[in-house]
Amino acid sequence: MSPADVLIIGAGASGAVASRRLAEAGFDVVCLEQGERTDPGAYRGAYDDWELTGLKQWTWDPNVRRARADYPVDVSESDIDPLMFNGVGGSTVQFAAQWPRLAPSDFRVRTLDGVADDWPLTYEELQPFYERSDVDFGVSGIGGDPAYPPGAEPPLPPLPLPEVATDIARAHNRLGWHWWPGTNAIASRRYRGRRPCVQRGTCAWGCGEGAKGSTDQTHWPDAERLGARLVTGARVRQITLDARGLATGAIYVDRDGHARHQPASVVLVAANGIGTPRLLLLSASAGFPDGLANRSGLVGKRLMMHPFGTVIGLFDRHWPSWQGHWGQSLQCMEFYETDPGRNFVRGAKWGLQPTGGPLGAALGFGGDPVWGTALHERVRTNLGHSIMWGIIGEDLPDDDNRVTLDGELVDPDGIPAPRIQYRVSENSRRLLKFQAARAAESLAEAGAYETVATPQVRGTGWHLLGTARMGDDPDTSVVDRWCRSHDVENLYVIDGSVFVTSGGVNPTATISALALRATERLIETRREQRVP
Amino acid sequence: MTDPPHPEEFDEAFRARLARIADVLVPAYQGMPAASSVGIAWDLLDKALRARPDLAPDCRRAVTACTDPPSPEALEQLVSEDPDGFGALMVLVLGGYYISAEVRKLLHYAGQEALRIDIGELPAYIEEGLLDEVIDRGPIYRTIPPDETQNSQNSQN
Repeated sequence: MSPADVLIIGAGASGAVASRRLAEAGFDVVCLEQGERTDPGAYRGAYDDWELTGLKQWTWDPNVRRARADYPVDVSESDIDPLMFNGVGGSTVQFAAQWPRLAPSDFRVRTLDGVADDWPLTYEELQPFYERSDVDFGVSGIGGDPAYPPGAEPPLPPLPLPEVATDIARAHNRLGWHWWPGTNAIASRRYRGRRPCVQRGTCAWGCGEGAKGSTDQTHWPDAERLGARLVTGARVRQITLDARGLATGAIYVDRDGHARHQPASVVLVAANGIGTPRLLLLSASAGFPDGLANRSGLVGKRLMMHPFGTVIGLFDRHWPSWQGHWGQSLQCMEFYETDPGRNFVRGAKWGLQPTGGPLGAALGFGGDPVWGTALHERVRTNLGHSIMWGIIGEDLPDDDNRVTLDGELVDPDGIPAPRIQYRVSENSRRLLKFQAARAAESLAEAGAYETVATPQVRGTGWHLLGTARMGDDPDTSVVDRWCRSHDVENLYVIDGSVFVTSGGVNPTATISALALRATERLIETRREQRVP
Repeated sequence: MTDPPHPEEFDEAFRARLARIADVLVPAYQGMPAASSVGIAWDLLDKALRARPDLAPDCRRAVTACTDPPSPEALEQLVSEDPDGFGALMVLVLGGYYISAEVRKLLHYAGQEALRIDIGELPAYIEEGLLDEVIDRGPIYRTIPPDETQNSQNSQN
């Protein structure tokens, strides 16, 4: 293929954002994606085997799904299973589309709480890019949330709430606790060719309506129309360098098993918090014996995956608890900030969600299997009678939580697979225990006769962050504040790997805003950019 | 990995045995039918297997290993000795059971339906002033004094 101005590796959230913006600015863009395009008609949400296929073909876990595009991940030393989708749109194809931002304090945790590190940028610097991303992704919600500084209204009105969610809102007002209608990258009315949400409740297994803001819907059609070249079935195994230490492109393996080289003037890596360090480590060379752009030694370290807990409230009333957006109907930031009176630092965001269909109710969420009359009782009390707070807790960075290359495990193309070492910290355990207790109080105040808490669930590593952190000091960070490698001038990392800390919210709004900001900087400084 | 057996490879004797196990997993209870009475070992099993052909080998192994007639104790033993086999059996039996039209009707569950939403209708939380109460309680985010940063170098911007 002919040389590109910019090569982007990965067609997910950040790769799509950069591809579209660069194509719009007139750059010749090539994006290499190891997966394929997915026809929204293939999603199973409208069919009666939705829950069955959701446990295999449409599971979030690549080690279970084992599709051709997936690579295995050694999780034998991890407390949490990392989750992802490999294909055009990346994990936005299966994300819940919850769209909260980091709070201002998230950028200053060292200053405020004496832990981890401050980011090299502020909320205020990122806010314009958050607002542009809201428009690009078609975000629904209501502005004025007192958990955030003032800013622009989301482009779309909020999605509807089930009546029980309004009861929970009333309960929070009685308790004096924060709540706000959920902010979601889900269209509440027709928007830029997308149909509105139909509340089917299967967002996380692919949105057949095209209402959800997955980048195969929101960005790729425009990017390709503007000239971006998207190559699917292209698994990158190495970023190449010239004698001056500048990136010259990447070698990828196509679906026929042939190795090909895609030359480019600038390389952007957008392969998620596991795929990106894996590729940088795979790209070790004489000049970078410990992995490309890894003079700091931090590539792969500080993996953060957001330990996640749930509290389900059981109510006497009946409503179609399996419908709605998934997505969050409410969000609560009451216990987001550090309180010195607690035995942990930082906090969590809660998102209110539907609880799924009968098979999910029968199998439970992270619990032990039941059968016989107990099974009937579980389904009778949950299906049509339950709602769930999903709790995302801040995951503080730790050098021992990391991604390395596995010595034996390989992907379908024979390329070494990543190995994850990750332990849930004591701070996270205390944090989730506290939050689960408060969430149970919330649901009880709203009328739940019983609450069922699962303080931490293993198969919930949706958020892959921190493994190529940004910073101003090349000794203690992999990329600078503009996501450019300290070590390789024309190499950028633009995905969640650059997070300095995780915050306690779903990260895609921030990943997208950071990618847009980095891309704008690249465009602005194009004339100063050294290229091979 | 060997190819999973085609549903037709489960013969009548196997299906009858599976049905007996399925009735221990999902017995009749308070108006809900037992698994065998909705045809769990026949059309529903085939439907579940079409969705999850990967589970056939583990299911076969589990059914073959379980005592016949089955008992709760035998299932407990299966859980401890062959969790993958038990898991496959559970997913296929429960998956098939909850696909059953009769079962769904009894549960008032019609599947995941497409609903038309009306965003023109004023939400109760606006109409009742619930959101105003949240706003009236004031901002809850922590403000950051501009000079209070320990390792930020914003002057580089």
